[in-house]
Amino acid sequence: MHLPLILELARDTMADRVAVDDMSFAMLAQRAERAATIFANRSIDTYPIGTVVFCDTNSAAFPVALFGAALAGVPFTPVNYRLADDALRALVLRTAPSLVITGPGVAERLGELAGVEFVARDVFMGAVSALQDSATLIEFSNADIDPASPAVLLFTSGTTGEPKAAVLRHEHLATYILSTVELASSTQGDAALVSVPPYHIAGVSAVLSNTYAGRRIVYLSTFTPEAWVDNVVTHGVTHAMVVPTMMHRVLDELSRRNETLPSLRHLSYGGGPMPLPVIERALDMLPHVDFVNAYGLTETSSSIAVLSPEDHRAAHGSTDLALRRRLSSVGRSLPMVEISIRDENGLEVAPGERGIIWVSGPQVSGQYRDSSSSETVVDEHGWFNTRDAGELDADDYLFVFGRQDDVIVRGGENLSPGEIEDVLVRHPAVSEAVVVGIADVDWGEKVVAAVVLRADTAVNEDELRDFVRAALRSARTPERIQFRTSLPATETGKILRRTVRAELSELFG
Amino acid sequence: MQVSSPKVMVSGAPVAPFDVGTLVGKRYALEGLELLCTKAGAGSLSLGEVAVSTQDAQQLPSSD
Repeated sequence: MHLPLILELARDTMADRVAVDDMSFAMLAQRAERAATIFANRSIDTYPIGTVVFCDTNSAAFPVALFGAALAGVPFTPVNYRLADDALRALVLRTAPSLVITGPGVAERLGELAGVEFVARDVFMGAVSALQDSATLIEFSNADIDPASPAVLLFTSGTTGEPKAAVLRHEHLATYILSTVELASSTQGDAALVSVPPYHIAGVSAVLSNTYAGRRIVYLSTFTPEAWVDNVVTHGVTHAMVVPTMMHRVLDELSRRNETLPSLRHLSYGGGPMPLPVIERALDMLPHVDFVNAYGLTETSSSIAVLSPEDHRAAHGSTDLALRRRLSSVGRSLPMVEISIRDENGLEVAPGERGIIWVSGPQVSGQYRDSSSSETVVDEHGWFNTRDAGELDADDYLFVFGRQDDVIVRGGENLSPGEIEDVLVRHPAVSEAVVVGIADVDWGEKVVAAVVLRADTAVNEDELRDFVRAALRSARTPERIQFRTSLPATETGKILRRTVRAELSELFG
Repeated sequence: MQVSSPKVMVSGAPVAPFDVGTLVGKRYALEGLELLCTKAGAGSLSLGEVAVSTQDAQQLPSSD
């Protein structure tokens, strides 16, 4: 099982279907073979290329380079082109000897780097088009790829420290696709709008799953809610995936335009906690759409648990509280994945009890490239510690409470920031909220919050604290609340809790 | 052990009940053996005389 097999099967069964832009699967396969040939024949300071780096926005060049690198047997590394110069330079240097495909201006701002060669995206695509098919071409028929070799290296977002390069081997990604997607299962004419960036695991898996399903990809290179809605309407988009912050902004845009997106049939979301009021609003506004909540990590080759459209509908309309609560869950594990909730000592806890989420299965990598990151995250039985706090209910629905490191321990009691944030955003004046624990002499840690208010609304700190106290117990009520105009976040909407915690420590500590 | 090669080319055609065909992209499983068909054909897979059945992939909603 390896990545080129996915494209080969798509080409053999759906040659004429459109893969991306005006490129059919036959053309994508041909270009991937030519790209593979270019990568295999290129050398950097007499060394063969060790990594193909993609440092650019989404475009048709992304699947060509991804499959090309896979076919050439060279690890593929998408990196965040928006990082500051120094941070990006440090990441790219770790990939040497490497060929770096870039958008305009990137090579210039990074300057010369040892063992690194830059090629502009247009030059790369031009070279692929110009290459004549010949006997020396690397074809699928003679692809000799070790399933255990690294296919994709992804730098984890680094919200908690120095980015680590997660290693995803061919077998991890290929098993994930083959066990969750049926070949050619999409209907001709279906289109998927991909707005997650290429350096996010969902950007990688979108290429693989849509190729195997035979679904055309429409790329949105930079997300804005206006452009997202425009693209769905213009291209008759049927499928899309968004991160929670995108969902909330898209819904506002739809309200503003009075648009209902009739072509859209399927909307999945993941990459962070989805506030309950946002998904409830989405279900109300788009009743014809199938919603899927997906939970996964870079280290697990994307999704490991999904909350299905049926689960969404059953939970949304229900008066049964346990059933209704499922709307805040991430559903059940995928067929080849096992999930276990364990305590601090690694012992499994009972259903309904909180602990740390561990996962195992053939798609789980849990490995990092740098020998310097010495922490062992996969145990001897192949279980990976996600370091996310969670709980399984009696019917195996998984609830995720955020990073274990973010759990607030106040007077010996574990408090989940997500639970408190959910209550805060239910207040009509609150648009976004983040809750963190800061050091406290009496309690060990105390609960504090930062909120962003909606335009033209007002609420004061005491009113907001009363609002939380009415819904939760006073131990869970933030002692202090900061009002601000925005929250610091990564490109994909992950709140930089570390930054918020440092600022609130300074302010309220 | 002597290996003999056939002198005459026999035109191969699958025989019932092993003539249902094998479908590209389908997974087949029997007794811990798991196969993925990458090229379709007229013959069916069997392990001895036992037909290898398709493994119905659970219909999963797309998540990416």
